[in-house]
Amino acid sequence: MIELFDSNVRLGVPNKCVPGEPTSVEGLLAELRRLSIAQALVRHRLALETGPVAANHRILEELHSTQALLATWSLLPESTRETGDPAETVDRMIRLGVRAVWLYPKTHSYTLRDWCAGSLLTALEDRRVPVFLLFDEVVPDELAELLDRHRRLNVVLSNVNYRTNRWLYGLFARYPSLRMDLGAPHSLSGFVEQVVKRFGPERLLFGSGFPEHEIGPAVSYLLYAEISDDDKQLIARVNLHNLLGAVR
Amino acid sequence: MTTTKATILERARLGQRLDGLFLFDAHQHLGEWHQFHMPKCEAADVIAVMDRIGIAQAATSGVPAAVGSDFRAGNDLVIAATRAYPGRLHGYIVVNPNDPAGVAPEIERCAAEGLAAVKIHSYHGKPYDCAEYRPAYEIANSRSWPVLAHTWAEELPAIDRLAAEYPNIRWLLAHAAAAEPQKYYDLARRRDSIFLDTCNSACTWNAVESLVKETGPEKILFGSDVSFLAATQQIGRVLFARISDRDKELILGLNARRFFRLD
Repeated sequence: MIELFDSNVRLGVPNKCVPGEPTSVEGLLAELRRLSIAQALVRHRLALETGPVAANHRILEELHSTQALLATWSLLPESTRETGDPAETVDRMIRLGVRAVWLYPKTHSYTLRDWCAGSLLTALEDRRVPVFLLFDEVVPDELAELLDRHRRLNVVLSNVNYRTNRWLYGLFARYPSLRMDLGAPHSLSGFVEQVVKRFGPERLLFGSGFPEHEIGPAVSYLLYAEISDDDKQLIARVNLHNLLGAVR
Repeated sequence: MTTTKATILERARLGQRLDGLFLFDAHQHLGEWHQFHMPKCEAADVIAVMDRIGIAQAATSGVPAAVGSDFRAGNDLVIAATRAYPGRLHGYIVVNPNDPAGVAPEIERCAAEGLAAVKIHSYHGKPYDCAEYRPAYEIANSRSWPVLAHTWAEELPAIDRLAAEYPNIRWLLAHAAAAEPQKYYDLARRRDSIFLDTCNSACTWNAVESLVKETGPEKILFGSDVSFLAATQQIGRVLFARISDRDKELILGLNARRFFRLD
C-alpha cells in the first residue's frame, strides 16, 4: 500500500461548517486512520477566524502529543509586527519544530508584493520554509511576481480550481519552485498524467483540504492515475517529506 | 483458515481495478470546450480511464452540444463513440431549444443511430418547462427514455412540474445537492421517477452520506462529469464514503441498471 502524507488538513472550528464536520484532533485522527493515511500537515482554522497569533499558539498546544499530525504556522507581513520580526519568528518557529507556513493574503488583507511582505518572504526563502497558499487567496499575476522575486521560495498552491491549466502550466514551466496539491475542487481528466510527464512528479503533492473537502477523492485521483508507482510514491509522501527536510 | 473479502474501501485504497463489481458512469462528456483546457476528452481517453478503474459502461453527451451551440456536431461525436465502443458507451441526445423546429428531427436522427436518452442543460438559456423543449419530452415520454438534466437547485421546480406531466420519463438530476441540498432530498423523496447523480468538484464533507441518508441509496447514481472533471477523482467520493458496501454497489452501478433498463 502506498503510504500517504496529507499536506493540507485543517484543525479547528470554522465560523460556518457542515454539521458533524471533524474539527478536533481526535476527529482528524479517526478519519486518517479510516483511510490509512500515515501523517498529515495541519493548519489551524483559528488563523482565519481570530488570527495567526492565536492559531500558532493553539496548534502547538493541541498537537503537542500527536506524532501523526505536524503543525504549520500562519504568518503576517512585517509592517504591523503582529507575528514579530520575520527572521526571528521564522527561527523560533523552526526551533519549535514547525517547518511549513500558510499565508492568507486576501483574507488577512495584505499583498505578497515585496514592498509589503518582502522581508517575511525573504526570511522564509532563506530558511527554505515551504509556503502554502490557498488558490482563492492569490491571483496568477501576483503569484508570478512572487516567484520571480523569490526564486528559491518553495510555494505550494492548494485546493486549485480545475479550469486553470492555461495559466497554471505557464507558471509550472517558468518556476520550478511552484507545486500544487491534489485537493478538491481540482479534478480534471488527464491532468495528473500530463503534469507528471511535462513538469515532473515533484510538482504535485497529495493534499486534500480536509475536512472542507473529503480526503477520499484526492486518494483515488492519485492512486488511479496512469503514472508509475514510483511517481505515485513521490506525490503521496516523498515530495512533502523532501520539502520539509530542506528547511534549515 | 478463513479469509475475509476485502471491502470496496480497502480495494480502492490499494488503487485496485474494481473487478467483480458492476460500475456505470451515468454522466460523461466528450469533446473540447472553449472555457478551459481538457487534456483527455476523446472517447479513447475515456475508455482508458474506465478500464483502469473497472467502469464497465457509461452514458455520455457531446460537449459541443451539451454546453455549446453545435448540436449536430456534439451528437455526432457521441454517435461515433457509441459505434466505436458498443456496449461500453451509451449516448444522450442533446437538443437545441433555440431551434424548436429542429428538436424532434434531431432526436429522430440520433435515435436512428441507436441513442435512447436525452440531455438538457440550462446553458442554453431556456427554462426546462418551456414550450421549445416539449417535443423532446413527448418523445422521451412515449418511449420511456431517461432524461439527464444539468441542475444547480434553481431548475428543480420546473423538473417537479415536468415529472408530474411526463410520468414515463426517468429524470436524473446532475450535481445533486451541490447547492441547496434539502430541495434535492425533498424532490427525490416525493417523486419516484427522480434520481440524483453525484458529480461535484467540491467534494464537501459528508455529501454522499447525506444523500444516502435523506433519499435512500436506490435514488443515487454515480456520475463523474468527465471530461470536465476526472472520473479517477469523482469516484473516490463513493469508494471512500462512510456508507455500506451494498449502498456503494447500488450507487456505482446497480441503480443505473434499473435507470437505463440495461437488463
